[in-house]
Amino acid sequence: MKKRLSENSPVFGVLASVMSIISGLVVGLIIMLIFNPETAFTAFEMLLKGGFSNGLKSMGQVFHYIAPYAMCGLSVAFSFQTGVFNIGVAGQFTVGGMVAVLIGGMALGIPDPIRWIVAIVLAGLAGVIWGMIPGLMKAFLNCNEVIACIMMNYISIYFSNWVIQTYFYDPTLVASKYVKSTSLLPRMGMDKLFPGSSASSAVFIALLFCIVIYILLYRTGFGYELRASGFNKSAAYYAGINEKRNIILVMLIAGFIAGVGGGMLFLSSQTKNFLVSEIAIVETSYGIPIALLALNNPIGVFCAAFLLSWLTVGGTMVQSAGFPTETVETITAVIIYFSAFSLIFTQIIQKWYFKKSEQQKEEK
Amino acid sequence: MDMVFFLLRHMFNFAVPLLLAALGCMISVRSGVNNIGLDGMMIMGAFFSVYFIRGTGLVISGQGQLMIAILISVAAGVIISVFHAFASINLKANQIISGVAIANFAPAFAVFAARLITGESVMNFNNTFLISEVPVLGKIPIIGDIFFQKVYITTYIAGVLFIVTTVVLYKTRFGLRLRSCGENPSASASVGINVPRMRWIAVLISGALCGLAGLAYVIPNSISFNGTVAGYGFLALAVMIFGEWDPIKILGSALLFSVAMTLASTYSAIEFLNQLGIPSNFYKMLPYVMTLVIIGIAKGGAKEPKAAGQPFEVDAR
Repeated sequence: MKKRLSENSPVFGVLASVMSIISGLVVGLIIMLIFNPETAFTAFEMLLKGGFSNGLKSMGQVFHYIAPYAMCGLSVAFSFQTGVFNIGVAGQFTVGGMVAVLIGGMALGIPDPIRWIVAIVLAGLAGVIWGMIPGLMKAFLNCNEVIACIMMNYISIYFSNWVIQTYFYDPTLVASKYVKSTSLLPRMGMDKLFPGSSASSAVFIALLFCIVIYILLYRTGFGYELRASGFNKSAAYYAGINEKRNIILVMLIAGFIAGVGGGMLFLSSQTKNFLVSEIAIVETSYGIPIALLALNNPIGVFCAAFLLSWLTVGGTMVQSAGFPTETVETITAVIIYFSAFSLIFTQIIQKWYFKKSEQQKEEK
Repeated sequence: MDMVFFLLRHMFNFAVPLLLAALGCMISVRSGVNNIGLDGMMIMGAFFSVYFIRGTGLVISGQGQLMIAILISVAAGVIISVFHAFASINLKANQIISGVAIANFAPAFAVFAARLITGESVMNFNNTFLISEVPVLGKIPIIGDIFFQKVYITTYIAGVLFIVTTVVLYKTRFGLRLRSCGENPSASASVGINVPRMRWIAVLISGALCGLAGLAYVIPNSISFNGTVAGYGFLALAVMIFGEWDPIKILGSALLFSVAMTLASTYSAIEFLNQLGIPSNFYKMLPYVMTLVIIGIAKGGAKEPKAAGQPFEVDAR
């Protein structure tokens, strides 16, 4: 007889996420059918094809998108696990990107081989500063971190625009100038493997971050403390866990992750420059959905990032079938909505599973 | 003096959408359901009503058209809020996630639909809604200049709704019951109040007010809609928290915010500020920096309704 799953086996969580994704895709298809019934199925097929749609180049693009998606998702997931809601990923990511563009473009006398490292570390530190402010406010002033983070997101946009416009601006592009080719992240053979794509070592760095955060959360005393305060604040307080210190540390680490993510995005290819606009960088909007689908598990984050990169690449194709690229964003939002039901989904699956195994028992 | 009137009118245009959305959110939170999808509800209201104005621009115009558009924006807000209510009340899902989903869905959907309908991401419309002067009242010195010239009808509607909300919340049986559902739903249920029903009504009202807020944002600001309300929904959330979940304080904080927004958008017209030579990006930052400082001082959270964000379990009494 098959080994029976315990009630809190992670399998149920994974199944619940899969259910949210499928429900989201189905509703997405329905929305597409309402607007354009003739090409909806063709477009939907293109969307699902994703990385297979245009040979190795598309596959490379999938790997290119994983890095920023995974870093944003990881930053949110890490903070979620510890009971803080870091909705400020967009701001931390933006200032990180801005710093990386400045260093990568102006060089500032930093030698070529280490410049990209300096750039993404400083990008991470910029993210730290952006994450620290809401963290300190929550810890010492008891402010709502959601509002503080949202405000920091807006401030980051105008602040970065000001820095770029003052120091590294190309008015004809309405964006920053291009970074030096010597500042880009090492490609590590990804450009040879996937010709024509922007894939680089960023995907490996993102994977490394996911693994490190996994170990930090599940294999260290500090991680246990953090998860304890996320699980039950009062119990954690009673056990002598310093909540204020932890809130600040969490926002610091989450800010660093997001900042590095921003840095890596802007150093991933020569043609990526920092647009001066008043809208948040689009990659950052996937942070929360990825964390939710991954059930805040760092390894799950990487998988969810892969899935959403897949859909993003598929989404660039649907234009040929008469659908805008916003199709993917619309579907992702529906998936988030369904992921709010993950608890219900888990209960349904568990009910079904345990009923079935009970029946099997009785038959024997 | 004309300058002062100009700034005050500008201020009202910023304050009205903030006030409406913040009041909507407040009603929902006081019934015990958090709503951070305000931005999405505003966008849905704006999208459908602008679509209507655009489509009927050749047939009707002026205040009549605007009144129908207002009804449409309210209906759109109510419809999108049904999803939030269903998730957070019936399915007891995480209210933050459902709110985030709505806030993410609406802007994507608005651009998605606009592109499929008009071929462009921006929907232009013919803005014929400015009331240059209200008869008789507009002639009153000073007061007439401030309140009854160059206004939009949405400003008056917001004023009426503000009074209605305050009275309903504090002076009626319905308001008392609503507040009790947000403070202690088990106690409310024990005296025979249908908590899920009250919460459904509250969330739908919040959707209605947010939908209207979306239209009130678009009308004075532009002659086009590009799928965003510039984060006003999130600002309204800050307005509500700074307003301590109380309508009168919310009005005050909405006005305070709109002062900062007015400065950010009109500083170049004010000679004194223009001469200071501060880069425009810093003026644009001002409302957000101010919010940050204010919530730091206000220590928000102390007066939050106790049961906000908690699903109501019948057997958890």
